[in-house]
Amino acid sequence: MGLMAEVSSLIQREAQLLDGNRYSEWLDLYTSDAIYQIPPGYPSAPDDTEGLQTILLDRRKLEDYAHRMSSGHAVVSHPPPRTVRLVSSPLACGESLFSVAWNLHLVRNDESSLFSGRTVYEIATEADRMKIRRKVVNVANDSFSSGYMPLI
Amino acid sequence: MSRESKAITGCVQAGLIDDCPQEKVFRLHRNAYVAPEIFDLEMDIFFQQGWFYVGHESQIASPGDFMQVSPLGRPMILCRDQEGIIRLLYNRCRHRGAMVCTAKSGNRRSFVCPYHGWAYKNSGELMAVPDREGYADDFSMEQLGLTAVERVASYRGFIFAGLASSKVSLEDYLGNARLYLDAVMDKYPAFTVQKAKSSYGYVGNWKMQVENTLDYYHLPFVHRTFFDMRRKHGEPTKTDFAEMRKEHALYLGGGHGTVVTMEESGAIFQHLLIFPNLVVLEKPAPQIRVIWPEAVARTRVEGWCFTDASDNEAARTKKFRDYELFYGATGFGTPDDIQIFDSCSRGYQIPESPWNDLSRGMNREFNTLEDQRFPPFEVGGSISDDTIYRGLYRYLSQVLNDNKKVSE
Repeated sequence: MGLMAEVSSLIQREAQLLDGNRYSEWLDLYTSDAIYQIPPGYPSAPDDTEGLQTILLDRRKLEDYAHRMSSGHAVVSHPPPRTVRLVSSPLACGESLFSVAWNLHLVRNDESSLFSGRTVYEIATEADRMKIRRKVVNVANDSFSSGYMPLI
Repeated sequence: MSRESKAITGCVQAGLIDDCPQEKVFRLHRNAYVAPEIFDLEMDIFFQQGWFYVGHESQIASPGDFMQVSPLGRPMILCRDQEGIIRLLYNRCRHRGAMVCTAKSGNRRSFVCPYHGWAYKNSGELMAVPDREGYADDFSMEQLGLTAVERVASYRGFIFAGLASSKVSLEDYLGNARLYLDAVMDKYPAFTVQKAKSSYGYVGNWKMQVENTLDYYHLPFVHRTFFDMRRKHGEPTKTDFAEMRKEHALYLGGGHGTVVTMEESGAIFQHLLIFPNLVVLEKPAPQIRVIWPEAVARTRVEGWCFTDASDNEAARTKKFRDYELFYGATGFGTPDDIQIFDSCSRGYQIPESPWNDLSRGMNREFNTLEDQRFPPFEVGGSISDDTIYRGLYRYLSQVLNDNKKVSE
């Protein structure tokens, strides 16, 4: 498999695992030093990646997220929302960096919400496997009128 | 015999509340959350005639700084003009109604209407209209500045407004809450509101967010995963009711209230509600929460992280990470609250079961504290009690009734 096909497969698999609430497998796609970040602006300005973020999760907090969502005790998951993530083909945008556009359709409480944006992945090899080292998610929505957006 | 059919003597049944201290009964009717006529009255009384919060001075620190706000759906520009005066102007060209400012925030000396080019200073004054010769010689540009909101005043950097004239000064409106705001602000001599905000909405009444912000009773249930996570990492949690009994929920009068937690060091931390739409939270991370009612069952909430300019980098970073982790639509706390609001809103659709029980803590209220850290208040209880809600809804019910009588 070529590099782009392998990156694309990794990114599509992540979307599929999150849609399926398969959080431990999802977590396994991230390196042990991974960072997941949603900057506050859109498109994010260079100084948006420092200071206060919409969210910034290191590996430990990613594990906390996975645990929270699979614990059966997160009220936001009662009943479990349905999600469909559509992710475009990746484009190389730097050394080990790949950019995608995405849509997230969230269905909960008899309402549906649409989120969209662009993400840059930094890919690394760990234990001979391609993994995500850094994910910077830009969200085009101005506000979250439904009060909830799961990780993309 | 059910309470619905029981004759009640000496109790207040003003439509919204069933208040009977001698029987330790306090109930709130679902109309507080679902009746459009109650919502319309609240908007008129609290936002037109009363004072409400719009922003903090540190958000418009320099001449030319501005930010948009839209209370009651009215677009407004909150700005600092070139003289340093804080202005709150309706964002509406006096010519044909277009918004003269579409940017959410920034720095400008003037606002130019995109429709026909009428230009206003950031003080609101109309300074130019294209093709001036097309208007009569006595066309009065002085009369056509951006309309200013009737009342604007600040206390400790917090800017409040009112849409109609009022004889109530800002300090009188703040009442006891003023001293509790002092207690917060004295800790942060260089209080600074961060630029990024967390903004979210929900289907449901605005007062659910007001209540929820002061509610410690729900923490072990709604936020179980958050506190499980903190326990796992050896961080302090606040979910034990016996521990909560030592700490206070204080109703301050005028709809205002505060829940106060204490650390072993003696430091106190508040969730301070300045009714109707401002809550200053110090824990689990510093936040100014602004609640914007949009309809009887539609609410928008804005959260702003605050820091102190004297925070070192590590302290500031910790505040940011703590803030992100709990608050907002992607946090590990807020979305659970929103889900509960949706659930309550559905429950409030049941006319056959119209009452909420808000009697928790009626058996252990107090009116004074010897502890000098606590300025005057009206009624106190423990932080997991309904003390503040009872005060708030007695106040709300009384004000609505008084207003009805005046209009009749």
